[in-house]
Amino acid sequence: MEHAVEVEAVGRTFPISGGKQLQALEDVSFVVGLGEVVGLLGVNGAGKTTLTKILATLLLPSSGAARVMGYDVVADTRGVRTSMSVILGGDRGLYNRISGRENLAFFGMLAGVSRRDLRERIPLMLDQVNLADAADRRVETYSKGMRQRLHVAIGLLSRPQVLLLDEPTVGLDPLEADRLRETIHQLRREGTSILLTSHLLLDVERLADRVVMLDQGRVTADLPLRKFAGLAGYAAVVTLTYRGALDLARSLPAGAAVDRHTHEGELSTLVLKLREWSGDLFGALGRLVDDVQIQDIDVRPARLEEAFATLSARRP
Amino acid sequence: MIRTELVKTLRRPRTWVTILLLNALPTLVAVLLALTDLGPRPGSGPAFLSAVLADGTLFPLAALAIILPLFLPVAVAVVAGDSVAGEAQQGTLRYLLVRPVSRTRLLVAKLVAVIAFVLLAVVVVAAVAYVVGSVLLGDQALAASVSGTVLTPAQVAVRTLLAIGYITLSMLGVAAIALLLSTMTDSPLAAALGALAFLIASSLLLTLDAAQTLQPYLPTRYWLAFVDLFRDPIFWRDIVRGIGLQAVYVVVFLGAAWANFTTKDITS
Ligand SMILES: Nc1ncnc2c1ncn2[C@@H]1O[C@H](COP(=O)(O)OP(=O)(O)O)[C@@H](O)[C@H]1O
Ligand SMILES: [Mg+2]
Repeated sequence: MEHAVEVEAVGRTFPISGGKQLQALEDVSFVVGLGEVVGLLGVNGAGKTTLTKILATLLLPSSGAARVMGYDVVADTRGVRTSMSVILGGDRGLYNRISGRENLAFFGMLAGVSRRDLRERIPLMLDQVNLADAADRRVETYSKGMRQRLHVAIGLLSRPQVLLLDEPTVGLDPLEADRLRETIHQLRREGTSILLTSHLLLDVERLADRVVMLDQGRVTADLPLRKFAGLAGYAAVVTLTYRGALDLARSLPAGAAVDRHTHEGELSTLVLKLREWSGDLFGALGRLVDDVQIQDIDVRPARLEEAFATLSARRP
Repeated sequence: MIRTELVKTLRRPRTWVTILLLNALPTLVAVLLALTDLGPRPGSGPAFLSAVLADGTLFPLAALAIILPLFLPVAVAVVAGDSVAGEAQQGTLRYLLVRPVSRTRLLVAKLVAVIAFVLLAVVVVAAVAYVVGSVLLGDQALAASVSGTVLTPAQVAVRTLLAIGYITLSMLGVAAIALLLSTMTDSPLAAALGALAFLIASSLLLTLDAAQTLQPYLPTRYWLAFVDLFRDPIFWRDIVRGIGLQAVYVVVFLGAAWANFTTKDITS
């Protein structure tokens, strides 16, 4: 077995009013390699949660097949459930009247973690998600972020080989979201295979090796992160603030395009999009700005937002 | 799994509040009886109320007869209706079902917890009523059976235990109906009310002559047959029928609950 998750031509319909069927997923195929982090990206309603739930054995596929660590999600649910943890986003799904530690112990026990391992791992997990101080408080006193981090701790307690994350950062303030990303990042270093679902590009950008894009239940892209970003049509954006005069018409290097050029008193701001990330191009840029007094330069790789916008615009 | 469900039930404040409330009415009745010494006329009012004036040790049976028609089934419907739907509403159901514990086992654990609750409630009500009855209404060495003959304390004790068993069993039909509804909705309230509606319909039909052909199959039909345990000799016919009928309800509704739950999409 070389893949942690295999999705083969999976379809799923939901009955809707009027006896009609809603096609939430259609002929979806992709894999998540062992130790790989795949970002499943799509706007709301694209089918991300439906797919995650199929992999988590909560929903049955209407057609096609899927396997987690080689176990079929329909025929071999026990195998799937033993090798996988799922974190479904949001802050519900915890027992509010008992403490965080007790929640961990309860779900850990259900996952088949032995008493001895529980005793050993629970404090470690609480530390890892920064909940050690609040561990013995009732969960109803937790903030949204704390609950979400408790979900992460519960999910990781059983040391799953595969982790399914559905919109893990949704509803978190930026600081909490960053902490969560750091936790996921650490897992990735430990070799856990992860399918990360999000409509937030930042999550995928920071965490994924590869991006699968879902649109209206179909896969519209399956690319390494770098290439996906390249779909934006350019690789980097350079923002230049300077004093003086630039003759763009004469000296703009090939492969660079002016996105914006504004002047405010003595200061001018120039935003350039670069088609590729190359030394030659940066060299040419350097010569371009030789004659002016540079106040500030900012170079950043193209964002997934931009690729996302391009892809979404291409939709029929 | 079963153990944790039991612990969860016992640790819930709701369990104990419900049991406390179940004790309130019988205790009030005992106080009133002790103060006024006026029982209902024989033949009217819940069974045993007249007999307990003569002997407080029969009061557990009176107490059970008081809560049996309404309060106990309401409590059972609420607890059983909450068992799966409550987890769905909290969002914990999906996190239970992604664990390597089969849905069948989860349902069995829920059922065991409900049965434990019923048994606990019935036993506590009987025990409290025994104490209250002995203290307020006095206990004589010899109690009269419903048929007028005398029962020894040992006989009373054995028959009380049998009655507790029969009443618990009678509640299993309610529990099975509520459990089925609980697997069908995400609202614990809807499940409990649905089961109650079923029981109320059953009680109404029992009073309707036109429904005579249905009556032997209504779930509440033989509930009060536990009184027959206190006839001399014990009149078994209705008790046996009651047990058989409850068994049918349990098998049919639990079967449906199982079939529904084990194949259900978890969307909540
Ligand atoms: N239980 C359901 N019944 C009917 N339609 C559903 C159900 N669950 C999801 N859908 C529909 O399936 C589509 C995909 O939903 P979902 O997987 O939640 O998307 P995402 O997670 O990408 O936002 C949506 O159109 C949604 O309305
Ligand atoms: Mg979703």
